[in-house]
Amino acid sequence: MKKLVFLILLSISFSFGNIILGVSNSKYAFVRYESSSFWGGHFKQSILQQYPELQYGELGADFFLSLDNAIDFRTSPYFGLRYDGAYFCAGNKISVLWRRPSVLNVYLEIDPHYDSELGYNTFLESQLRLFITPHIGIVGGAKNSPEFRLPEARWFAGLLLNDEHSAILPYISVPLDPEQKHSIRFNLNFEYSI
Amino acid sequence: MIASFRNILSLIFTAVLLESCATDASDSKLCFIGDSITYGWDLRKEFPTYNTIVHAKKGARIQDVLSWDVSDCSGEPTVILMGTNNLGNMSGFLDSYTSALKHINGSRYYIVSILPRNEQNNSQYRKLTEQANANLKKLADEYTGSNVFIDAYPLFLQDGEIQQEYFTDGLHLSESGYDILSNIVRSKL
Repeated sequence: MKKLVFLILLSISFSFGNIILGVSNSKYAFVRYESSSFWGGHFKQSILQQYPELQYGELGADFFLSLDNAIDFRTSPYFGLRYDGAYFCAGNKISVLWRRPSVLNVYLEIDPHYDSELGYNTFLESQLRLFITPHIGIVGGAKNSPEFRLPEARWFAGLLLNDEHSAILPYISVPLDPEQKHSIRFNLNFEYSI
Repeated sequence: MIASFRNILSLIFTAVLLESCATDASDSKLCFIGDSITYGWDLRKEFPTYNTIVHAKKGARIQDVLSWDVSDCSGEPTVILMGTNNLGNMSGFLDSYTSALKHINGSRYYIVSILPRNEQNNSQYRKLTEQANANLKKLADEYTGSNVFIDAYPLFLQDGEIQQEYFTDGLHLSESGYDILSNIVRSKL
């Protein structure tokens, strides 16, 4: 059965674009489809460690555009909810990545976000990526976007390792608020393109 | 084939949406009241799908809660992990605990047992802790509402000694200690 699912995913991937599987912020698994043109979609799921009805799932569309192989634009409207209906979230993550010069990339993101319990927030994230080699980079930045659900301002630094099919980013995230210093985190982002 | 894949995803999501609409809206708030052990607990990471509200101070004893403004926990499910700082003087502990529950006015309490310290199996602290935990279990059963006593105490012991890898200093928890604690609390919510 596992082989069958893998083969189906593989055939879809080769025929129509890419299927990308991954983990974000250690607590969410995602699957993303990217067509060979300009659109795609994703589904994100909190990793099961509670009762199913207390999990969070998010479905979104992705539209992307690359200019001269140097600037990547992406917009991802999404809708998510906890499965017991306790709250829902909706927003649109808009990002731009400057990939020139190739050794120093700049990434900016804005996410107007609504949480039915917490209200509206505008989340921002900025990153610098310094590549020591084409496959190894140091990433650092600041953000007020939540790593999980609640808004929190943090800076972060990590090591990005990538190759043709996968990327892994272990990083340390530290709160900007000194009162929250106990919540220094070691998180992991990972993705694998089938 | 891709159309089928998308259809399956959309069916699952629609079913979930319909189910959530058919259910009365729940509340995702979860309050935590505690001392330094709760202060050092990364609750946003461990309970990522909750709106966690935290009131925790280093060195806090149960009677200190009476002077805290915990009005944002009123009517909410509340996890309380306190008592280790009372072990030096346990007089009136249970009365103070009961007063704290009244003061917090939570909708339901998840009372977590006092965790063991790096003491000998037959030490005074160990006996006091076990006695206090027995009383806390009774309190959870008898206090108004359907409360839950979470007995985390034995999870941190092996052959009568604390499992060192779960602690940083024999009292405060390490990352793996917090994993154990988070898992047992999550399993009771």
